[in-house]
Amino acid sequence: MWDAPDDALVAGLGAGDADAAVALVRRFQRRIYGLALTIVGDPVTAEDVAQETFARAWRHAAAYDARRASVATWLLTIARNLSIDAVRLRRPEPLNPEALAALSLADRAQDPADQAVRESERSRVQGALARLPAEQRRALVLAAIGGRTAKEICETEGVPLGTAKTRIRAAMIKLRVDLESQGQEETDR
Amino acid sequence: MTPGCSEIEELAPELALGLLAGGERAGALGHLASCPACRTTVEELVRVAEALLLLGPEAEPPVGFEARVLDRLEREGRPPQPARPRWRRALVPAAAAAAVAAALVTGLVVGRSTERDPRFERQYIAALRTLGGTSLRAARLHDPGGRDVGEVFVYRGHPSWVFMDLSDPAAPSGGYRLELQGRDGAPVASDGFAMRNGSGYLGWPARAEMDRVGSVVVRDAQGVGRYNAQLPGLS
Ligand SMILES: [Zn+2]
Repeated sequence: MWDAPDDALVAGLGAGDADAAVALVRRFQRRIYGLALTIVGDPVTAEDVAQETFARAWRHAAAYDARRASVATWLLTIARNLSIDAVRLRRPEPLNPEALAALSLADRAQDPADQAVRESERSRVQGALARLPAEQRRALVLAAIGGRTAKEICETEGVPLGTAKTRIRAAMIKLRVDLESQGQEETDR
Repeated sequence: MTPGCSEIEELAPELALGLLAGGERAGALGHLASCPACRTTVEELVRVAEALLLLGPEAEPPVGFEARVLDRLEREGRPPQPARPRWRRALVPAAAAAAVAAALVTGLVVGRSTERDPRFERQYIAALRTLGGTSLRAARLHDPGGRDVGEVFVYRGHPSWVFMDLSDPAAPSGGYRLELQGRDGAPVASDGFAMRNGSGYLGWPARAEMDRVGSVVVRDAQGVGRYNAQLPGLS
């Protein structure tokens, strides 16, 4: 169970298997809670969001489709949307944008489970992010990982709304092209 | 107001990042229903957004987190099997092929829209692609105070159908009706559903000219309009 692949744990979850639930929670809790805390900015709400994320995964496990997204992506997307909803209801202390923008490039504690695969995928994205112009990277990280809308970014960064939107869009398009060409190189090899 | 391609181009990054609020999101999804080019754009951006989530920071949850989560899962009980919409019973064999497509869409939206399952956008896009871009319009349901209480989908096909998912803890239980209205506000067709413990849903193979439908009203047992949704126009 402890070294079962991610999708096998989700399948177990869908069948109501408690051991699979334990393994899944242990494997992903630090990432889920970390993302929630980044977006909502307070530990109590972050825990609510993280708990709800696992509850949703439990309820919808049967509908999980491995062809569409990895388990990590699936769970993190649930956590992101719940966090954004929670923030809309009650905007807490504004998170320090400097700290947030620095996050994406910082080292992180390692979880041995599926480290090799994760690291290669992560480093690809991280590399692509590092190649963006600094102001675009910053806007994109604030939006994609910090859950900030373009309007919020324009306010905290002191730039016009149109500029914030353009930066996010330009960064996403460049990243898409970059990630696609990397994927292409891998298949060519 | 229905957004066009240029508005969607503007909204696409925030849609893909999960940042759009109810109304804008429903409008954008309505446009995607009929525009393959914008669907492709959004789909690509969704993949970028997902890749970026992998860079999210890790943090140690508070002490006892794991036990509290597992406790909660235990209280929820065994995960439910996917709901069977009652309209499936009403289908005749002649409609079988189209029914498969419609069932796909319904299966993808049942029980998800009010919970805002994050995979919804992707599944919706995938479903529309399978359907070949047939008209499927989505809109948020609001109470008179503008509060978001759910979502309604109007699909034009063979058969056409309506799907609604509503959640309002303040709503009394009982029999309700969903009424389709033309763009002039005149009733086009209606069907009943039950509200229980603040939630109700309806899957209905409606015999109506869906393209004429401009809005949806939900009426309580006394016939009073309690919620409504404005559908995006067809492009
Ligand atoms: Zn378009």
